[in-house]
Amino acid sequence: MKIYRIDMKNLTVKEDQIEKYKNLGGRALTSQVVHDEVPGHAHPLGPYNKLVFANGLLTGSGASSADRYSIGAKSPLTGGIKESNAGGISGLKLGRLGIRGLIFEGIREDFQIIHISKNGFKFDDATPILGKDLSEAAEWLREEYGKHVAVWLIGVAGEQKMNLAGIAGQDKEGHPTRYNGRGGLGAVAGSKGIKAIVLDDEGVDKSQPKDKQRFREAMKQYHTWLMETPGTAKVFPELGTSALVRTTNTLGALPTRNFSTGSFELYENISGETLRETLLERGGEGSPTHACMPGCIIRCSNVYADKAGKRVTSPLEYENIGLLGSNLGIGDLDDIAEINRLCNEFGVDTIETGGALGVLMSQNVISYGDVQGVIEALNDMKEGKPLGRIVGSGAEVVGKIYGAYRVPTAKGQTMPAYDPRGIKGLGVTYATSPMGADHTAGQTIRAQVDHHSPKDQVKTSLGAQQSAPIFDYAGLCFFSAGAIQGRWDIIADLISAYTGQEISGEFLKDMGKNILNTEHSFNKMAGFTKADDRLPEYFYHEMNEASKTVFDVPQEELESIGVEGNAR
Amino acid sequence: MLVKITSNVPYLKGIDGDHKVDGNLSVEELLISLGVTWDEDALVLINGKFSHGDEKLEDQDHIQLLVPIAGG
Ligand code: SF4
Repeated sequence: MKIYRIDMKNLTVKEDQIEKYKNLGGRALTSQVVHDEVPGHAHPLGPYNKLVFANGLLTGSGASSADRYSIGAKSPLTGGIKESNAGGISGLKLGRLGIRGLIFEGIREDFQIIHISKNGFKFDDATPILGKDLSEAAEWLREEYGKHVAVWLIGVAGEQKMNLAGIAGQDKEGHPTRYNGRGGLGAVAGSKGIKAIVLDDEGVDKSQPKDKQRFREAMKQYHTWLMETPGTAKVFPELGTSALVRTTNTLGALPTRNFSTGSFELYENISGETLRETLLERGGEGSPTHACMPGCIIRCSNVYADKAGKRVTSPLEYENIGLLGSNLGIGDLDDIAEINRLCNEFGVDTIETGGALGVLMSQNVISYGDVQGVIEALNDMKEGKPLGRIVGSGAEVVGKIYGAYRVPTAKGQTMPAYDPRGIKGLGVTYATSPMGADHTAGQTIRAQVDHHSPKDQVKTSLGAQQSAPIFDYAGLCFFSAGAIQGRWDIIADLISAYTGQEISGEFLKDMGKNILNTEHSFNKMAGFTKADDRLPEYFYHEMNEASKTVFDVPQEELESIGVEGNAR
Repeated sequence: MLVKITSNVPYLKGIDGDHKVDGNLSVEELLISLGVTWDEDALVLINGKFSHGDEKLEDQDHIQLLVPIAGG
């Protein structure tokens, strides 16, 4: 597997020879490159930042839910290190081309399409797809380069280098809706003039494990776990991640009206159960169960269809429902799906968009529940009008412009759909993760602990923060976690058999910790201190009426795992 | 005594409703007797509070089973 460096200023490519990167994948590779090669003080949109795409070690292996890839850079949203990962088939195709990673360097003013095939790299002018909705741009790319290709691309938000711009990959049906959404990576791509990357695997053979027999055996065990664990075998395929609406609403953690409280009076209208019933009733192109990549046993995704059964968007996830629904006072799945569709078309992170709009609503610029107002603001974003630019800057900037006190961010990034007063372990993750507020950096909701008590939350969050990078290194979907249950030896076996690089379960655990330390140490170089390892002030003294709690995990305890505790 | 169970877990819908419980059972013991795997099938609340499993059941107690997945 090769790593290539692409100089976007001069449009040249060379194979990377750095020994230490050779055995790294996913988040381990993106974070190591950012740590080693990007100066802490670099401007995120300037020539010294680098944008790294990296497949997980199992991506393309054929193991279930394991074709994920990471994208990393210094984030324009947080000013710290960023890794965001996604599924779909774009990583899979990159792997087929024999490539583990792409390191983009330099910046340029115009936009390019980077075409990668067995014949090498080719740069084409991206003018024909500039300003277009993503579905239209992806369609154009497939017409131009062939139906078999997969793509990565940015939307109008990335072209305008907005803080909430994401990078879209493609699902197995060809829709560009699998997002590396967080942290403004789409703006970094925009600054480098990367409009699209086309992965053309024509004439390339499927990759084979180095030790087929051993791989088969380990995979059999792993797949058995997935099929025997109730969460992965029954809950995800039936209800998807939106099964969490009822859970978080009960716990008082469903963000409602700009994170002012944790339960929403219309939650049943937007629950996973209602989503499923609605889609089954409507039939047609919609489906409550969908695999974003071939062979995923868990199939947590869905395809949302309108009343006539026509596809609107995919997927409608719990985070979308929380941030674009209850957080905006919107209690109708059709409305949420339409807002989600626009986010996907314009290439923005749904969480940051929901956060920015929530703060805007708290200032009465748009009213809670005003779907039309939201749609107009999003269209303004597409057109680069002032209100759209403001929303496109993310929740923190919106808060500064309008003088808002309640801005639900950590390290400048909007919280995902869990009020940190209702699930305090996630509050710890938001405050201490090098990524800023990010549930995938250390999800604790699954633990049978008292989520309303400050006790044991730091320990629970740290454990979660140290295991999350293992998934991101391997290319595994985090939703397999309930089935793997920390039994890393079999996963190590899978990786060893596939790559030929002999590793153990202990090695994986150390890898998780090392990645986290590397990221903290980049943030330290970027100027982060323990003062950044906090939640916004109002969470400490304003009660969430639904959970009847404030955030009260002791700060000293929390700092022990933050930037200064970790990057010593 | 009667203990009420409300399950949000789709495949554990069968145990929704009132259960007659004799004597000295804990939350965990009752759930295990109903085929629920502790700390795997559900997040468990007892009267709106997180259960540690060892609380002794009392008449009119309410157990809620929440879907224990890790979000998206
Ligand atoms: S579990 Fe969901 S997100 Fe994960 S790989 Fe499968 S379909 Fe994709």
